[in-house]
Amino acid sequence: MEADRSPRYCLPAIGRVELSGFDLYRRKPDVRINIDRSVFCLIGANGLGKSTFLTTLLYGLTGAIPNREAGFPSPGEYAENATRQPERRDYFGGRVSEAATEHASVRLGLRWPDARATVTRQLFGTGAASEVEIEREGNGGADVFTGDSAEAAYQEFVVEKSQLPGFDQFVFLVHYVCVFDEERHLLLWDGTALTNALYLAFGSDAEQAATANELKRKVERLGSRARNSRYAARQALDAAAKLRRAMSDDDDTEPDAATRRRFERLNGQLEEAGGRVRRKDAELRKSEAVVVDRSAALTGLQLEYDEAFAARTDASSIVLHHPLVRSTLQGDRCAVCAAAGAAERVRSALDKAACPLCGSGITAGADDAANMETLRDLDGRIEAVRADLQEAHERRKRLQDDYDASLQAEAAARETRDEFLAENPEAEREPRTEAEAGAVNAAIERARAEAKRFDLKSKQEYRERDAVRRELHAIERQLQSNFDRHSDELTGLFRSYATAFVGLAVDIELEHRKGKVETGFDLLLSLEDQARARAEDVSESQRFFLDIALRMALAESMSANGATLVVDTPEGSLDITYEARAGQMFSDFATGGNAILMTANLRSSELVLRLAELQKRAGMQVERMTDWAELSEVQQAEEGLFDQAYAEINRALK
Amino acid sequence: MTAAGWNPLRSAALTDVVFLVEMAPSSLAPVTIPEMHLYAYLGNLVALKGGVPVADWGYGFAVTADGFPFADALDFATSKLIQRSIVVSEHGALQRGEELFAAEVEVLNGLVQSARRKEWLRGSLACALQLPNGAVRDAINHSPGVANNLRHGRAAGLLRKAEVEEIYDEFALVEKLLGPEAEERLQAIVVWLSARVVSDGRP
Repeated sequence: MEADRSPRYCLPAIGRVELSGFDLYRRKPDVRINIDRSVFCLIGANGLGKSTFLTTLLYGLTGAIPNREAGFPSPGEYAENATRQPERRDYFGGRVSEAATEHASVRLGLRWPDARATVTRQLFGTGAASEVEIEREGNGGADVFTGDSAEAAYQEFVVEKSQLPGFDQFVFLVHYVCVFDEERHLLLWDGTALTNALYLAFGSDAEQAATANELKRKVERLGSRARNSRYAARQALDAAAKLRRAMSDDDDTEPDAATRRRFERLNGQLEEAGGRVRRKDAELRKSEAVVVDRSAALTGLQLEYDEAFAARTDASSIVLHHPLVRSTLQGDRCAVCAAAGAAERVRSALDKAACPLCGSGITAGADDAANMETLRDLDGRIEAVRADLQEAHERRKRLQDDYDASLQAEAAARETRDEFLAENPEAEREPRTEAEAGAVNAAIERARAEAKRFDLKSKQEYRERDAVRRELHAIERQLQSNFDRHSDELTGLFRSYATAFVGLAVDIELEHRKGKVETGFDLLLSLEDQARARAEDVSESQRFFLDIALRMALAESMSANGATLVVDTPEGSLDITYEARAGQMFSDFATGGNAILMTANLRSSELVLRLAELQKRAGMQVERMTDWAELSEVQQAEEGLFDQAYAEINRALK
Repeated sequence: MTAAGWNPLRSAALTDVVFLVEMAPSSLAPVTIPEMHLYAYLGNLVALKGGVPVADWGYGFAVTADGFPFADALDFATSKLIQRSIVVSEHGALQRGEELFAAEVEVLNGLVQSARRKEWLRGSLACALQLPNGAVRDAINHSPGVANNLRHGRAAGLLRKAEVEEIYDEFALVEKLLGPEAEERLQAIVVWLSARVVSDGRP
C-alpha cells in the first residue's frame, strides 16, 4: 500500500522560554521571553552565552544536550548517550555558579495546533522534567504532572502530538535535523543519520526507520560474526598446513652422518667453552672473597695500630696508673694534700709528660716499651697483610681477564655452532619416532576438522546475513520508491533555499548504498550538474549553508504545522558576498510558515540586516543580549559600537 | 681514651703533622696550621696520583666555609702533639719541640706505616719549592670539589667519588701533555697546580 506522503509529523513551536537562576547572565539571571514572531534572533557580543541559551533551550525540549561527536549509532543509543548526567553537569557546571545549582532551571512553553504544554527541567537534576502542564484544546484547564510521572507524561504527550514512533526519534529530529549549532555537524555528509532522517521522511510508516535501523545492525552483526568464523577457519587450515610442512620437511632432510658429527663436535666445543666460563667465574668469585677477607684484616689491623699508637702517645701511662694519680683524677681532689680541683693540674702535667708531683720529665717506661713492641708487631703484620692484599688484587685482576677471555671464547664457539646450524638446519633434528608422527597426523586431522566446522558456521552466518540484508533491501527499495515518487517537495524546497543562497543550480539525488557491507542512503549533491560527493568538494561557507538548506527542506517537508529551525551564529562562517543571500534564504524559510530561532553576533552582519529588512518587525523579534550579561572591559569600552549596530538592525526592522 | 672507648687520634694524622713540621722547607717554616692542612691535603693528592685509594689515606678532608682544606684528625693530632710538647705552637705556626721532637721522628721513621707517608708528604712539600705558597693555595682552591664549595661558601667533604674521577682525568690530561718521559709524579703535580694558577681554574 502506498504511503500517504502528506507531512506526518507535528513538532511543537516554542512560544516561551524562561530561565531561572541562570546566573551566567549576571544582569538578568531570570530570563523571560515570549516568542511570537517567525524569526527570533538573540543578538550579542562574543562570549556572552548565546550558544548556551540555545543549548539550554534544546535541553528543555528534549532532556538532552546535543552531542554528535561520538557518531549516530541509532536513535535509541543516541538519546541515551545525550541524556547522560555527567556530561550535563559538566556543561552547566561551568556556566552556572555553585550557589545557583539548587534551583537553576529552564521552562519552555510549547505549542501544537490543538494543544499546549509547558515543561520545566532543573539544570542539575536527573534531567527528567520536574513539572509538566498539558493543555488540550477543548479540555478546559491543564493537567499538571510533577515528580516521577512528569517526564513520562511529557514524552507520551510529545510522541502523541508529534506522531513520531518514539521520543528517541523526537530527540533525533530536533538534534540532527532542526538544529545547526556550534558543533557544525553536517547532515548531508553523515550517511547514517541522514538515512534515519530519510526513513522518517519517506518511510512507509513511522516505525520503518526503527525497523531499518535494527535490520542494518543485524546485518552488521551477522557479517562480523561470519568474518570471524571465516578467519578462524583460515587459521585452523594454516595450522594444519604448517604441521604438514614440518612433517614433510623432516622427511626430506635427515642429517647425514658427517653433518651430525660436525654438529656434535661444535656443540661439544661450545659446552667446553661454557664449562671454562663456569670454572673461571667460580675462581673469580673466590678471589674476590679473598680480597674482601684481606681488606677486612687490613682494616682491623689498622684500627688496632691506631689504638696502640694512641696509647703510645699517652706515654705517661705508668704515672697515670699510679694509685695516687688515679685517685686524684677520679675524685678531683689531691690524694696527697686533699686540695680540691687538682685533676686539671695533674692532667696537664701528664699531657706534658711531666710528673705531677715533682715536675720531672717522664721517660718511656716498661709500658711504653710494651706499647712500642705492640706497635711494631702490628706495623709488620699490616705490611704483610698489605702485601697479601696486593697479591690478592693482582690475582683477582688476572682472573677477571681470564673470565672475560672465557666469555669471548664461549661467544665465538656459539657463533660458529649457530652459523653451522643456519647452513645445516637439519643437523639438530633427531629422526622422528612413529608415535610422534602419529600424534602430528592426529593434530593435523583435528585442525582440518576445526577448519571445516568454522567454514560451515561462516557460510551459515553469511546466509543469515544475506537473508536479513534482503529484508533490509526490500525496505530500502520501498524507501527509494517513496523518495522517487514523493521527494518533489523536499528537492524543490532544497533547490529553492540552496539556490537562493549559492546562486547556482543545486540538486540532490538519492543514492542507495547497495554494497555487500554497506547499507543505507546518501544524498548526492550537485552544483551546476557537477557531483560534490565529499564535504571538502565545496567551500566551508557553502558546505554549512547547503546543509542548513537541507535541514530547512527536510524539516519543512516533514512538518504538518511548520518547522522550527535553531541556528547558532550562522554568519560566522560566511564570506561577505554570501551574507545577504543567506539572509534571503532564512527569510524565505520563515515566510513559508516556519520559524527560526537564531543567535547572531552583534555586528551589522548583512545576513541579519537582510533578514531584518525582509521580515520587518512583524516577522522578526530581536533580543539584545548585552542587557543580560556583564560585558568584558574591552566590550564595555566599545559599547558604543554595540549601540550603533543594534540601531542599524532596528532601522532595518522598521 | 674517650668515654666511648674510641680514641680519635689517627696515627696517619699524627705522623703527617710531625713529618710536615720536620720537612717543611725554609720558605714555609715555621709551617702555619692552615698550611699544614693544605700540604697534607696536597700529600693526599700526590698519593692519589700514585694510585693510593682515597680510603687508604687514613683520614678525610673537608673544605671549610673560610676556604681551605681541613682535616679534623690533623687538628686533633696537632693538639695532642702540642700538649706533649713534641711540637710547639707560636703565633699560629708549628715548630719542633726541643726535647721530644727528634725522638718522635725517630720512632715514626722506624714504623713502616708512618715512613711510607714520608714520600707523599715530601712530594707535597716539594711543590712549595717550585711554586709560591699563595699560588699553591690558589691552585688547590680552584681544584675539583674545593672550588665549587668555596664559590657557594659552604663546608663539605672533599675527594668524593666524582671529584676523584675528575682529578684522575686531569692528571691523565697533564701526563698526556707531558709525554711518556715525564715519569716523575712530582713533575705532573707541579704542572697540574701551575696550570690551575695560569688558567684560573682548569688545567
